[in-house]
Amino acid sequence: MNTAGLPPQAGPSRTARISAIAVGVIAIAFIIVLATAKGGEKNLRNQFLGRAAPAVEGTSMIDGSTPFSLADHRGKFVVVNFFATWCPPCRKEHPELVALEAEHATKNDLAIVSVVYQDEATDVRDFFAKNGGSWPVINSDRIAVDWGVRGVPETYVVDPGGNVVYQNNGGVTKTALDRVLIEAGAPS
Amino acid sequence: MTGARKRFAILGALFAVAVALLVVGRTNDTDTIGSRTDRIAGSFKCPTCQGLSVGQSKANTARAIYAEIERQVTAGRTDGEIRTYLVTRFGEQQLLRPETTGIGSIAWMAPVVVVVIAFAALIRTFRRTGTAPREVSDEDRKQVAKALKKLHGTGPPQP
Repeated sequence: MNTAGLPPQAGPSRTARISAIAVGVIAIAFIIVLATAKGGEKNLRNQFLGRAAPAVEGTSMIDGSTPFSLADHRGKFVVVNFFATWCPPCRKEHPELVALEAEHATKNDLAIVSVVYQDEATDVRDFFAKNGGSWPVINSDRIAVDWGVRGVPETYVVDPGGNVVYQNNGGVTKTALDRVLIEAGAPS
Repeated sequence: MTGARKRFAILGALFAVAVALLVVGRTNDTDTIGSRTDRIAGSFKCPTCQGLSVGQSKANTARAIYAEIERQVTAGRTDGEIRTYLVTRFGEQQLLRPETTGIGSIAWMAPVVVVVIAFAALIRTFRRTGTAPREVSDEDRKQVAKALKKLHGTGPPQP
């Protein structure tokens, strides 16, 4: 169409400008939200680290009768270990926990509890019979979800006040646990 | 009814139908234990997978979380309570649908704001085009006559 001789078209209206600015502000807000979103390594941090530990309650599946409640262990350090016999790092770390238990047996200042994650009861009983460890073993996926466990092994230290002071994703060592206990005020 | 008002009425009716469809679509869910569990599990990322929800993944962690969601649904807890439980354990970043409070609410509010602004702009535009035509000036007539003469070699009929 020939527009020769016609007046030039008017620029964008005020409404269009305001709309464009509003959309631009919203887009920038989105970018800020995405840029500041938590990601990567931070995602592995347990939500309870530095806070009151969730409950761990049940009956040990090893003898089928020994009750355990984390709340009954106030005043002691408690190592809460989430594990499964099908998990190689769990099997590898087990002697470390056995050694830790032996060292603290006479001091009576530390308890260990294992929470079995998606495993067969018979496999767990066989594993403890063969590899040692006399602490209670609770079979409960629900406790693992309650703690926000993402996989096994995961190990936590609960201080005498009932707060989670340490988290370890992957195989744990006695040396690491000793260091945590000393830093948290356990008598050496 | 003027053309502009008619268009405005049609747009309004379409908007109302769209809103109604959305509302019906949401409330038509058959709230069985399974469907509620699936819905909640579908809105929560599997903590150990890449790009899968708890409902989609077969990973051990996802299966354990799914079972816990199902247990809580069966126990009568609300969707909101269950989501809060999961966020407390695994973090807000695991939600596939952003929270309706805090900074996550921007994601929900932004589209509404855009729609409201767009709707306001439409109303304004239709109101402008719907008003009575302004008086044609002599200058307008001259320009039209000039343009027509250039095209066809003839001017408009004189009133």
